[in-house]
Amino acid sequence: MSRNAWLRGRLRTSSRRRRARRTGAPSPALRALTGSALALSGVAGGASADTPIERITTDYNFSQYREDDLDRSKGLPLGETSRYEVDMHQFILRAPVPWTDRVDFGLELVHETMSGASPWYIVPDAAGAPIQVMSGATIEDERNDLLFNMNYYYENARLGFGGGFSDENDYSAMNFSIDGETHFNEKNTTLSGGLGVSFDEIEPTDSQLFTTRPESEEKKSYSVFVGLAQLLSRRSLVQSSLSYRFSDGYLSDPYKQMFVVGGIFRPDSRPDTRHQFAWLTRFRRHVEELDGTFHLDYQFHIDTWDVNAHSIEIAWHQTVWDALRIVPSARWYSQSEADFYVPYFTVDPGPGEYSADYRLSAYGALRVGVKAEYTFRTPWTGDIDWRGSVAWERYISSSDFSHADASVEAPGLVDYDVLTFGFSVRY
Amino acid sequence: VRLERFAFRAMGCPCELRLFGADPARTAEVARAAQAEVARLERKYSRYRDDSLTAAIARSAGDPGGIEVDAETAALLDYADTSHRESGGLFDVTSGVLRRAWNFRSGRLPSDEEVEAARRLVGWSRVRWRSPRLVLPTAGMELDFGGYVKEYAVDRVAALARGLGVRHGLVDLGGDLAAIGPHPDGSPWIVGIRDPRARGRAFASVPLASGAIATSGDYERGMVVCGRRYGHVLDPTTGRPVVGLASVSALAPQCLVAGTATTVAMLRGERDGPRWLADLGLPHLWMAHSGAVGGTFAPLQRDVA
Repeated sequence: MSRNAWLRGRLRTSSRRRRARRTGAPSPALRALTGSALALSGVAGGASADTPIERITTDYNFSQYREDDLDRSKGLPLGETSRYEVDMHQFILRAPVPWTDRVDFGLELVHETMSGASPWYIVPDAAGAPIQVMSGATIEDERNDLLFNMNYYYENARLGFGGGFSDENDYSAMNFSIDGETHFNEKNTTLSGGLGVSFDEIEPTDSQLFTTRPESEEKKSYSVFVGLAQLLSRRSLVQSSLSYRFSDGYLSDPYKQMFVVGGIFRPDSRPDTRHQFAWLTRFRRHVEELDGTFHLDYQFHIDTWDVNAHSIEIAWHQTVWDALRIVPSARWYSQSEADFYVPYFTVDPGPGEYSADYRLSAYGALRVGVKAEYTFRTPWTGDIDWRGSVAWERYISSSDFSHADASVEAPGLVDYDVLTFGFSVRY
Repeated sequence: VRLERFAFRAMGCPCELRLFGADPARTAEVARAAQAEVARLERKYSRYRDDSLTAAIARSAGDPGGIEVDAETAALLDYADTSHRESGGLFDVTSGVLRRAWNFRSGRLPSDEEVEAARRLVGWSRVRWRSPRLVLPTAGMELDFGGYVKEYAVDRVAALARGLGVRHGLVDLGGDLAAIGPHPDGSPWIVGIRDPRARGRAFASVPLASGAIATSGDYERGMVVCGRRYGHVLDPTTGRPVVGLASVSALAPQCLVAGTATTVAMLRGERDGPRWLADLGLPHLWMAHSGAVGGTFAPLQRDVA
C-alpha cells in the first residue's frame, strides 16, 4: 500500500469523524434500520421470548399435607382432635406440538386422597368461650382433577386457553379460561390479562341425615384479571395486577353448621353472591454478585363480605454450583372477619346470613418454607435433564397475627405442614 | 468461569462460539441450542433446499394470490423493505436471480441478453408486500435471504445465549460477529479483520466489547476474466457486478444493521461506499482493491508499507 493512499484514507476518516460527531444523534437511515432490526424477535434480547417450550417436560409431585391435632383446650373434652390429611399425586406434561412451532400444550392430572376430621360447629363452654366441635374422623374421599391448556404464540404475544374438570364423590367442577400477554416497549413492558369461568355442583353426602345439608346445589364464578409488568433494569422487574371475581349461587359450606344455645342447629348460610377484588404487586431483583434473586410479593384483597386481607411474601432464590437451587421463603397473611361471622348464637336468629367457619374469622397466619431443587446433568443422562426437588413448609395461624380486631379467636384455626417431593424430566 | 470454544460449520462458513461459563455441561448445552438455532434458520431460508421457505416463495412467483408468511419472515421482509428504501434501492432481496446470469464458477461473461433477462426479474418495488401476504408478480422471481440471514442469525444466537444466562462470550458466524458480552474482566474481544489480499491474515484488529461487527468483501467469490475482476456483489439496478471495495467492516449494536451497512457500502463502490458509512455514523473500516484503506478505526500500523 502506498503511503499516499494510507494518508488519503486517514484524511477522509478524520473529516467523516468530525461530521459524525457534529451530528451526534444517529442518522435517520441508521435509526430506521435499527428500529426495523429491533422489531425482529430475539434481536432485542427481551426478557421473555414468545415461543413454545421446545422440549417435552414431565413432572411428578407428591405432597403430604398434615394438619396438627386440634388443641385439646379448644375442643370437646372427649371429642375428636385429629384433623385433616391430604396426599396428593400430581402429574404434569408439557409439550410442543410437532406440526407447528407456534403451539404448545399442557396436561395435568391430580389425584388426591383426603381423610380426617374437620371443624363442624362451635359451642360455648361454661364460661361462654368457643369450643370447636369436629366432624367424625371417618371422612374418606378422593378427588381427581384433569386440567388442559394450550398456548398459541405470536411473534410478540401469547394466547392461552385452558379447561379443567374436577371430580369428587360429592362435588364436581368444570372451568374454562382464556389468558394472554403481549410485550411492547422493546419487550420491557408486558401487558397480560385473562378471563375465567367455573361451574360447580355439590351433592353433600348424608343430606337425609342432616337437616342443615342441602340435597344438591350449584355455583358459578367469573373472574377477570389485567396485569402490567415492567423491566426496571436488566436485573429488576415489577409486576402489578388487578383481579376481580364474581361468585353466584350456593357459596356456603354444607359440612358446617351453626349452633344455637338450647340445641337448635342452623345451616351455614352465606350470601349467595360475592364480589372480590385483589391487587397483587410482585417485585423481583437479581443480585448478580450472589447469583440469587430476591422476590417480594404484596397482595391486598377486599370483598363484599367485608373481608379485607393483606399478604406479604418474601423469598430468596439462591443458585449454588449452577445445579442446585435453594429457596427459603416466608409469608405473612392477615384478614378481617366477614360481616356475618358468628361463632354461635344464644338466641335462635331464624333464617339469615351467618357462618361459624374459622376461615371467615379475623386471623393471621405465618408460613415459612424452604425448597431445594437439584438438576442432574451427567454424561450418562445425555440431553435429558433430570430434576429432583424437596420442599417443606410450616403454617401457623392465630388471631394474634391479624391486623384486624377479633373479639374472640376462632377455635378451629389450623396449623399444618406440607412436605413435597418432586421429580421432573426434560427430554 | 472458563472459556469454552465450539467450532462448527453452518451456512457454508466456519463458525465459532466462545462462551465463558462455570459449568462445562451447561455451556455445552448453550452451544447446542445456538447451533440448533443457526441450523433452523439455515434450513428455513436456504436457497439450496426444496423444502425451505425460500423455495416455497420462489414457487409462488407469478401466483397473484402470493404466499402467506410467518411472523419471523414478515419481520425480515419488513426489514428488507426498510433497507431497500434507506439504501436507495441497492439493498434488494429480489436480486438473487442475477446469479443465474453471473455464474462465477464458469469463467465466462454472460451476454447482454442474459443479464437483461435476469434483471427483468429483479425489483423489490415490484413486489407486493403487505404482512403477512407476499406476492411476487412474475414467475421466475425469487427472494434471497442469504444477504442478511447470517447476520440475523448472529443476533439471534447472541440473544439466545444471553437469555440462557451467558454473560461473557462471542458469536462468530463466518466473520460476522457479535459480543454476547466482554471478557469476565470487562476487557473487549479483539476481532481480526481478514486481509482481502492474503488468506488467513488480519489487516486490522478491532476491539469489540458489545455490539456486533459485520464484514463484506469480494475477496472470496468472484472471478477474473481477461484480467478484469468481477466481484460477487451484483448491483440490482444494473444487473452487473460492482467493482470497488475489497472489504468493508462496520460496527453496530445489531449485526443485522452492521451487515446491511457493509452490503450497501460494497454496492456503492469505492467512492460512495465510505461516504454512506460515515453518513450512517457507524464505526467502519474499508479497503479498496487499490490497497487504499480508510475508516474510523485504524488498521494495524505494521501493514503500512
